Amino acid sequence: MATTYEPIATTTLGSAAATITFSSIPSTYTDLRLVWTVRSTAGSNFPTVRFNNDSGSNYSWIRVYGDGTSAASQANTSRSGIGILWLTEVSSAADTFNLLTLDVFSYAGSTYKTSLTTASADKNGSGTVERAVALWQSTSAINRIDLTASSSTFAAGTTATLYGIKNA
Amino acid sequence: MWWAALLNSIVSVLDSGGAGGGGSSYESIATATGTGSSGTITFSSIPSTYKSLQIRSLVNTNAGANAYLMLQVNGDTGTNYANHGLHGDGTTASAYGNASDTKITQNLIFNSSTSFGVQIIDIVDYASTTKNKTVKTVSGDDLNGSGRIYLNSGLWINTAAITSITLYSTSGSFTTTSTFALYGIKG
Repeated sequence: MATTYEPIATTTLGSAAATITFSSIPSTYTDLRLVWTVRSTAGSNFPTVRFNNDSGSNYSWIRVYGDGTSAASQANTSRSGIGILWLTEVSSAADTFNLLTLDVFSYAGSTYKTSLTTASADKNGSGTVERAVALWQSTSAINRIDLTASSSTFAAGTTATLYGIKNA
Repeated sequence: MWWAALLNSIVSVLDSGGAGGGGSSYESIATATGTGSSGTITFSSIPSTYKSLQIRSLVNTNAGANAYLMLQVNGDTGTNYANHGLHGDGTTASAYGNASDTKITQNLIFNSSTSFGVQIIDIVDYASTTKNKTVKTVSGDDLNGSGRIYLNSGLWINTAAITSITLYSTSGSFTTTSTFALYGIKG
């Protein structure tokens, strides 16, 4: 039986880096799932996800999030990448990494690409939980995903794994 | 005896599905595609051999207006469901709850020819005959200026094993570009 859910590639940073890239993604699956544990080397890091190296204003997303005090929703339109969560810094909450997931539906299809993201960051007294739906306005099949730090870098120990999910 | 060990190793490889390794814990059960003339999709004769089910779907309708995606199980249209949800529209985070309902609300599918509503629906212990069934859904739709993100929990107040799942639109038919994939996850 063909494997339905299998890892395509995984990366663990041995040293800090500003970008993690998955390239040459095969078109043989139905959906993609990215699972990412990450922390930042410094504050104010709001990483972005881009497809096929597209940095045009072709992304948008709507998120709902809570910070332990209140719940809110925010929309971003016509952006140059999908933004995900403020990252925990290495200077706070030792050994604590954020957990992010990205599910891309019909990534190899010929329609616009919709994704669901989850992001979890808890530092025992502060943090954020977030769910979002995102759109990439392109009909191209996704063959590359870039995870890029908005400022500073991703800390060593950050791990990202890309899975392929294949339907019947 | 060396020959016994050799035979055992051969059997072990065959039992594991081949030299490539063990069988999968996450299996595709069935896939359905919209027809353009029906707003209902049903997965039936669901085997009871998994621990959990997951549906991953990409949905649009030809309603010409926004429509809700709903879920029912085992053909039950009675007031045997409950539902709680959290959603955000980009401006406001809202919560809702429904008791004694005839279905479990999933999400609003926005009227669009270019973007789709997407859903990941999880049901753990679906085949249990001693538990009411809890459904978790993360879903949403983004149209670059409108849309919603949802986090839903639903309850089917019945201890029968789930053998069928129906997803339906409150308006219009699913387009031929809509896809629904049912997966089984082994425990």
